[in-house]
Amino acid sequence: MSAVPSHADATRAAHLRAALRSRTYAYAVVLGATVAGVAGAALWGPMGALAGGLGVPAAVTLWAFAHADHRAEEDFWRGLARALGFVVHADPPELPAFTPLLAAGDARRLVRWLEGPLDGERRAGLGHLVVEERDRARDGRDVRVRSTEHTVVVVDVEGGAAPWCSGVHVHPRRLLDPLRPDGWLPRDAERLATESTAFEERYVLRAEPDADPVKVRRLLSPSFVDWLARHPLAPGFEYRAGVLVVFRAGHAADAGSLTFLLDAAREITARIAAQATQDRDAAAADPARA
Amino acid sequence: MTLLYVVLGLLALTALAVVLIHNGLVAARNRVDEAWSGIDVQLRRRHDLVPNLVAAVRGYAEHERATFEAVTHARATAMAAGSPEHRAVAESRLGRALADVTALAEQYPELRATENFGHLQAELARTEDEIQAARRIYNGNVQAYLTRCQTFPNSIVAANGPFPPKPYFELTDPERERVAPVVAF
Repeated sequence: MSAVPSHADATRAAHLRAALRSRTYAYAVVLGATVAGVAGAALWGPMGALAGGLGVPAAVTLWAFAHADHRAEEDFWRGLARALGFVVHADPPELPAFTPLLAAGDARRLVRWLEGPLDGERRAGLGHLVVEERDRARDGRDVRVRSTEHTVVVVDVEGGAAPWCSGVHVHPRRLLDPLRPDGWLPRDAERLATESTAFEERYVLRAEPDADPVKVRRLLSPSFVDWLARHPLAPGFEYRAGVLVVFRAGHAADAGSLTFLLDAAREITARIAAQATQDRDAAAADPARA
Repeated sequence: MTLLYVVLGLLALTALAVVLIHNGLVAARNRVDEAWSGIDVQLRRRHDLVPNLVAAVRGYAEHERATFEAVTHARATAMAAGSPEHRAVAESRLGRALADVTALAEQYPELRATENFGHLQAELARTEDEIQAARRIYNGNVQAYLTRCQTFPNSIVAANGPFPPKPYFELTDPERERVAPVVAF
């Protein structure tokens, strides 16, 4: 991980310095300012010359900054992907609406997407999700009224096998959450309580009618509840139809948060897979239990 | 007349506050009890594992009768213990006795190689993890409950209602209790 920039802005200053020292920048500023100054003077007099002479260097510098910012972001994501053994998707895919978060709002898009191995047998996708809520204006056009950002890790835990348990959602409690889970979770999702005050202060656990409450209880064992209640990132997760989505609010753009979120996804995946295997083994040994 | 309304309003507000505080304390107390039952489940699971573990090791170390008797006695005491304080002491003893049995098993490579023993050991380790997690959850709930009971104005309601202080559940770690050997030079 040593070659990975620590965050998405880490190399921006270096790129900006390089751009400002480049010949392209110097030519653009000198020639642009001269041409714009002369043209401004011819058209609007001294004030036009001043505006042209200052405006072009300012615009070129802004462009250099935006370019440096973009390149720093590319450095970061490519470096992170390399360190994790992931691949960056230049054109992020459209995720099917596996879970409530991936089906939330009126439109969803991924603005970043990396894919690679999570553990020995499963792959994960890591990305930035934007959920948009739209309203219809008086003239009939769709107007974007709100967009919410999440960093998500998506894992196909059961690899297309018959899902062990479906419809378990652990959402962080947030006082000022613009995308209220109540609005996009299925209406019949039932709220369950755990025995931990710390967990209850931090999360809301819900289960859809499809989810076997006994399995949900077994999954949310004391060690898992305690682990979630003390996790520094307070990641939420949704598990439905064998697909796990681990998420946190906002677009994380630092290596620490992203790898930590990926680790959380790895841990949750391992717990779900272990519980599923244990239940299947028990059912195979005692068919009456199944 | 205005004064009467003000007094009635204040009384109504006070009554509402007392009801809210009381309900909050009841919820906190119930959560402590719920967390205690969570510990109980895990401890029972450990109790259930003891006979299997003893049976597995006994087959290889029949002569270590004292160790087996100690663990059997510790299990019986732990199962009979009632209050969290007594339970903590008894469970700590059982933990130490189990550690002795596991240490004994370490001396028999053939036993360690058996699938059954490996499975039992893994199950025991998992159960110990769950006990520690359940204990942290219980102690966290007790702390939240005690804080509620002791802060003003909750303390007034708590002192006059069925809200006894709840004890923390502390298990001593057998590994930590072992005294480090003194090395003389």
